[in-house]
Amino acid sequence: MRKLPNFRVQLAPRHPKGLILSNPVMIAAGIAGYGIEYAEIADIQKLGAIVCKGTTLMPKKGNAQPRLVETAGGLLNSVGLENIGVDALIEEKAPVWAGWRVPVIVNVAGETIDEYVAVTSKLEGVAGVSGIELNISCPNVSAGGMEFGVDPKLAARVTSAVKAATTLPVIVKLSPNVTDIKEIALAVEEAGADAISLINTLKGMAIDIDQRKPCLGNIVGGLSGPAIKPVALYMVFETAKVVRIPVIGCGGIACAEDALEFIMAGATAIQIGTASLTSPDICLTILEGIEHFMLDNGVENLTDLIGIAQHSAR
Amino acid sequence: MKQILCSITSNAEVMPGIHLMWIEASDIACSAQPGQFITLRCVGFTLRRPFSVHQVGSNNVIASEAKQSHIAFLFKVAGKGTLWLSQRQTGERLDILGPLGEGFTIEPKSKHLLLVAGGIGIAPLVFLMQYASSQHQITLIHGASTAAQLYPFSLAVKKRSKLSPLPKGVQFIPVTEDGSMGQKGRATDILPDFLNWADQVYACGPVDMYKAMAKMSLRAKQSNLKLRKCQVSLEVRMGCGFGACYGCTINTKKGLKHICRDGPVFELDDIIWQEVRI
Ligand SMILES: Cc1cc2nc3c(=O)[nH]c(=O)nc-3n(C[C@H](O)[C@H](O)[C@H](O)COP(=O)(O)OP(=O)(O)OC[C@H]3O[C@@H](n4cnc5c(N)ncnc54)[C@H](O)[C@@H]3O)c2cc1C
Ligand SMILES: Cc1cc2nc3c(=O)[nH]c(=O)nc-3n(C[C@H](O)[C@H](O)[C@H](O)COP(=O)(O)O)c2cc1C
Repeated sequence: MRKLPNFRVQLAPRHPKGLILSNPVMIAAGIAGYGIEYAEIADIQKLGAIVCKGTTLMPKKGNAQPRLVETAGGLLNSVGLENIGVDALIEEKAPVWAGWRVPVIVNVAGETIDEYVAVTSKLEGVAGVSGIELNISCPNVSAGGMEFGVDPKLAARVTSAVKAATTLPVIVKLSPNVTDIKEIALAVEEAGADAISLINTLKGMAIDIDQRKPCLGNIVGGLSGPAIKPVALYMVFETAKVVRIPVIGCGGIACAEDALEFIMAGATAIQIGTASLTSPDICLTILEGIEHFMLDNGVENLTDLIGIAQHSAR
Repeated sequence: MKQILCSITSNAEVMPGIHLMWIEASDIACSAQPGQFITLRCVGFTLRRPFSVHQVGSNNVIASEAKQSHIAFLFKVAGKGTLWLSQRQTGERLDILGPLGEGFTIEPKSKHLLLVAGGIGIAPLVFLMQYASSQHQITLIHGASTAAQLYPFSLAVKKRSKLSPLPKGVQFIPVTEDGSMGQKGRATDILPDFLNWADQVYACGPVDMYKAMAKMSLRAKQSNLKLRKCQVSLEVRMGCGFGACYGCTINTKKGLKHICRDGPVFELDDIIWQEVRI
């Protein structure tokens, strides 16, 4: 019998406690809410990790309808960080997560550095929370969000402030809406980030020609789905080239082959967003697909594949 | 709620531009309630498409006794996804998720149910009729642009028809905008005639129909016509279909609601109609 491949990945090697995932497949923020609804449909305990909805200090109502528009090979959304707020998360959701095998990472959003720090501080010591993902890349809110993700100095400041406020591993999620992703990545690495995830959505819009107005209530939204995969892959490739902390690849992944491309580009783990809307059990299918690939190609450790395409490119 | 691959057992155009599709889906057939919906994946598209459960039955025909094993949906070819769906053949398989959402509710004391369908809005109300007709007196007002767009109940009595017949005792009132069948006008024009009779009202149709009803509801509070307890089924663009992605949230008098999970059925009076832009 052939040996089962080893999927384990370490997401926070320079963190004292580390963050080991049983496999590299994660659900991206904003797709599965708090994971609880999702658990009714798919066996999410088998996944590497779940990232919950972007969470702010106070509950947020989000943007006006329509919030979703399908575009060629993709999706524009302008949900606008609707969420229940960190207090409700701690009271209602974390106790459920505490009984789960799968680690849950909380996606933290804010308008000011103080808000990011306040949310993170509240999550300190909460059972069921395994890590923080700093969302400095949301294109759908008027204040904060993406501003932090497009300026290397601000990105570094919010990262170090949050790192100082928590003992949990901190992943910083980057925006693709920048001129040089490497500069931001290096800035947050320097500021203490344990890992980097990318990409969040690309700013975009659509117009309804019959009604002669923008399709989204918020006019602008974030583009996700297969349409953005080549952009995301390139950004992961570029970022993994320059940083030493783990990179988590995200953007348009819809099958195991897509996931493997990100891993070979240098991603230690991958996140799946929009594709889970198309098919709620896709994460599990992708996980199986990676396993088959490894078995068929005699790859014993997933880590042997991480960044392998960087070598030939050199 | 389950994601399953289901075989199509029939697909036919039953009215111009409107298809009736039956699929084999025991779990959904056994558990679905009127007003609930399923989503299905149209290959090549990012978002799943939502459709109300239109009928449940066994082996392609409506049967009340036998174990339910099939569901039907009635859909209008409205765009690219539904065009793809209309071209599917018997035996092909569809990726289905359901049953989803909260459906219509009938209060124990209600005897007289008034159902108001605008166009394709007939789809979930046929299931509600199937479900409630043995215990309740039902009047169905069905409005459409023209006679050909009214649900062809009369054809359902034909052998092997996959349409739903009109349950015994249901009073059927067709209304067409061109006057080609029934009264000329809109469903909401004759609705006031039944308001005092009805204990509960159930509506499915375009937003403008609901807005007209909401105005009526306001007026009714001043006169003694009652349009209380009116439930409507809302349509917005949906992402996940089960309350996780917040793509379909609306603000209501009772706070934020996720149409896919808290609805799609809501009390007419709970919706802030001025804000509805869907
Ligand atoms: C709970 C619910 C139940 C429904 N039940 C039925 C039914 O029984 N029969 C029926 O014919 N139609 C029903 N609809 C509407 C149906 O889902 C749309 O007509 C269909 O999704 C259009 O897809 P398309 O690709 O053909 O159109 P396109 O215009 O190409 O669709 C593009 C996008 O817009 C969305 N969209 C377009 N129109 C609507 C709409 N009216 N409501 C929601 N999303 C829309 C689509 O899902 C898709 O994401 C229902 C909608 C909801 C929300
Ligand atoms: C409906 C929706 C909601 C999202 N909400 C969040 C969020 O709350 N926080 C966040 O960091 N990213 C959010 N995202 C971005 C995704 O996590 C992901 O980065 C992006 O969609 C690209 O991946 P994909 O192409 O696999 O979807 C959201 C995306 C979508 C489609």
